Amino acid sequence: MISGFGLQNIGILAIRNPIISTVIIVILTLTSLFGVSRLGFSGDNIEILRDGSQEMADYDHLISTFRSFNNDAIVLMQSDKLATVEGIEAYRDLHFEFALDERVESVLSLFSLVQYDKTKGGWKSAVPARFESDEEVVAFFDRIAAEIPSAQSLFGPDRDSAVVVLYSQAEAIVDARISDTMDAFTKLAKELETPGVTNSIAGQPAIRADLISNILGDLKTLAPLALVLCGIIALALFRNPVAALLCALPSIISLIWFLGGAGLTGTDLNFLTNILPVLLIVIVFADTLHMYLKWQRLGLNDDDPIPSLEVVINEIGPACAVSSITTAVALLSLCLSGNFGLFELGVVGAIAVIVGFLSVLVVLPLGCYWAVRAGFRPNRKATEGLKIIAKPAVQLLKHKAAVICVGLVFGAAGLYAHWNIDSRFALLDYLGSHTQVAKSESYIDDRYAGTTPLFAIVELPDRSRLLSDENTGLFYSILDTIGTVFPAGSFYSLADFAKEIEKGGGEIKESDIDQVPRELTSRFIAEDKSEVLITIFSSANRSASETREQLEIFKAALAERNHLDATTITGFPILAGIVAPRLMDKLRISLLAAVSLSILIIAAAARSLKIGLACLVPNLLPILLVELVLLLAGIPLNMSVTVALTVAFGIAVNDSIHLANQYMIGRDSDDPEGAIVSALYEVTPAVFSTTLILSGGLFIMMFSNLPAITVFSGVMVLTLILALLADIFQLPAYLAALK
Amino acid sequence: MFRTFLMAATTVSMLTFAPPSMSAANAANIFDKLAGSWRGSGIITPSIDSDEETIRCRMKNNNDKDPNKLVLSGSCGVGGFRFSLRGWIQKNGNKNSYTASMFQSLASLKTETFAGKTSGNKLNLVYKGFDKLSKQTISARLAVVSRGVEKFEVQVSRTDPESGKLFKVGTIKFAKK
Repeated sequence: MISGFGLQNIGILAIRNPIISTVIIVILTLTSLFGVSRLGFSGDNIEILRDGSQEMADYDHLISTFRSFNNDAIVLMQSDKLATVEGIEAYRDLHFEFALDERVESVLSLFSLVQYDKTKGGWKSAVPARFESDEEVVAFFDRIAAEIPSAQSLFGPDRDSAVVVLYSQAEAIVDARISDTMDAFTKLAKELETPGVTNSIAGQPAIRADLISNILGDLKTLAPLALVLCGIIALALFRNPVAALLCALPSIISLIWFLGGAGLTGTDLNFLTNILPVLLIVIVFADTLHMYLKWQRLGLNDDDPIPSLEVVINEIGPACAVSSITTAVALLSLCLSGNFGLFELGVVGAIAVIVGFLSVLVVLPLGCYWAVRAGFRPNRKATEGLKIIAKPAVQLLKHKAAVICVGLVFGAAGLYAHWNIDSRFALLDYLGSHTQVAKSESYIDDRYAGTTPLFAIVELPDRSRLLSDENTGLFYSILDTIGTVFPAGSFYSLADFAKEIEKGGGEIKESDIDQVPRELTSRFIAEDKSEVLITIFSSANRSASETREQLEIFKAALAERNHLDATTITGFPILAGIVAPRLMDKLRISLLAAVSLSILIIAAAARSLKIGLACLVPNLLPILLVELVLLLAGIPLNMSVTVALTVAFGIAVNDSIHLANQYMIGRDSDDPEGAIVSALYEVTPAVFSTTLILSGGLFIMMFSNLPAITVFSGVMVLTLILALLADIFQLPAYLAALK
Repeated sequence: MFRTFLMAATTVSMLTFAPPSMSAANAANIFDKLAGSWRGSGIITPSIDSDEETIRCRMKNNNDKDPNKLVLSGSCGVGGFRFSLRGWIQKNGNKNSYTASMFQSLASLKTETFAGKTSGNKLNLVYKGFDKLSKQTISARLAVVSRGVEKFEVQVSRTDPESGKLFKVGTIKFAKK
């Protein structure tokens, strides 16, 4: 029998002291319920990339030195009549109504632009205060595009849409208030709609609010649905509501403990940890089923099935302990990615698994104890029929060499996929495709050039005077270098202000800059004037390899003029093109670490390297086959898929552990082949039922509004089904071959 | 540009919410009329030789605690520039005398005097302040014209700091939100 490292004794202790244990559980659950009421949610999605790297430090520097571009919400106005008096006045209304909203610190639109007045000197608004005719408006758009090329980032190329960038007040977009703020923005935008004009909200704050709304939606609807579905499957299997309730109880209690613990410790649920409640439900349900089915078998012939609960804990508890440890290890392996978001998912997930294990070990036996005391008796017949599933596997044992060969061929194909599958990271992947925010974001990405700009921060050598010859010389030389790599008009900086003044025959002075409010200069100059910013428009749809290629060319051009040290290149394209792929590579290492550690843990628990090795290929196969499916379907590997594969491995290995455990129990009294057959008949109903329940619960999550969760759940379900097949057909062949 | 915006903003803000010098009985009445949430828009000429600019304002005024004191808060936007307006206007006793503190947020100006008279539904005011940028005292005139309880408008004119010439800044029309 597999060793549970003594952890099963917790369950023994609980069942020997049922009253005290029940009281403790009730107190814990009530305390946790209080914690649930304090549970918070976070919609942060940039943090997922935070890994302590230089690239993240550069991005943080950009935000702290200049401004937090992540606070920019975007009002998208779509109208075929933008270039008419009616259209531009609607756009003007939008600008001013948002400019005067108390939740907005400043706005940027065509109406914020200024031009130097040649005749009178000084600055004036680039947009006339009034338009008399549609022709005048058309002429205005032509003029502004020619005179201020960067203005074209504020209206669509076909002049059928325009944007107002909202720099939100920081306190208005904290997690607790962001949904209310975005609702208010949406309401205001809708109020300003006129016939033929539609307004919507996009940008980072809107994405965050959308994520929070979906996380809450999932928790309120899908998690209970998953629980109900698990209960229905259990009811179908046992044909007894009390049995179904007993199997659901540990999941319910562990969910309350987990959410309550998160609430009490101030751990917000984010779009990654959002999967944990459902994951916990299904994992706990699966282990509960293993224990319950064993109890059912043992307790059937006894008048009093309570004593057999200790036997169940002693025999199945260790397997549950090892399977929980391997799942926790798989989750903890995410910490190796060095990414803060995944570190949190790994640690919180591992804690959730431990909480779940304790619930299985304590709550189920106690539930059974009190149910028996109330007159309940388990019914064995219900799941007996499932043994038929083991028959083909038993038949195939006669051809174990062929089975192993087939597995290896599939494994080789999967390995090919593993090394050749592409990866990608895009913020849009994390938004529900049907939501208005996603539609607006997608529209902006397609039509506007500058939604995800690249930034060049220039460190000025002369700190005493911003516009000294030394500073301007370096700045213009770097700007010139940018002009050799990026198309003209695709970048803007302080030079555009200077150009405006020069057009009127003047010369830019530091006092001119000092007169400009900080919310505008923060787009160009650091507050201490030691650095200046050059914004380079970049498409959000650029692939990681394209970004890297362009960046290399840019760096080479800067190096050629010895400007590389003075220039820091940052922005979301760097995060998506460099940090995210690197994260993906690290996640692959995490997966390998999870596989290696799990096999080592199984070997240690079984005190047999052979059993550990026997589990290797059957548990690698599901992951490799999923990657093969993704490659064939042309689906790139993204973060959700990689995390799902790692977590799925941790769960999939559980079936192997239960089969190996049963094999080791049977081997004491039977020959190895006979023990394998007995183990197959014994465990198959349980692993089939658990896979059915796990897949059922996760299938519900495929209806999540968050694509990351949908993909995550889909990959998990596929992996678990493949793992079931590998455990029933492949693992027995390896156990027999290595006996 | 921002200097001219600032000047215009200051003038407008002052004129918009300065009360008239009027009879004691009328004071509470005009404050009652100005109390509430307002949305204003108009076109102004910030300086004598500048182009027209669009201006929009939102104000929330109340005299709940004291009928003779109107507490003002809100903001106006001109182009890409927004400035907030906070302060109060108070009637002093039974005289037609008013004091005001309402330019705290506009650091480049120093408030000096503030007085006015009423004529029918029109409140005529005169403001004098020191413009730190031009280093000169500027004065402005405005008329707050009541258009019933739902609307009022502010007509603004001011002196050019260099020539001392009075010119028309513009009119902002307010409607209750």
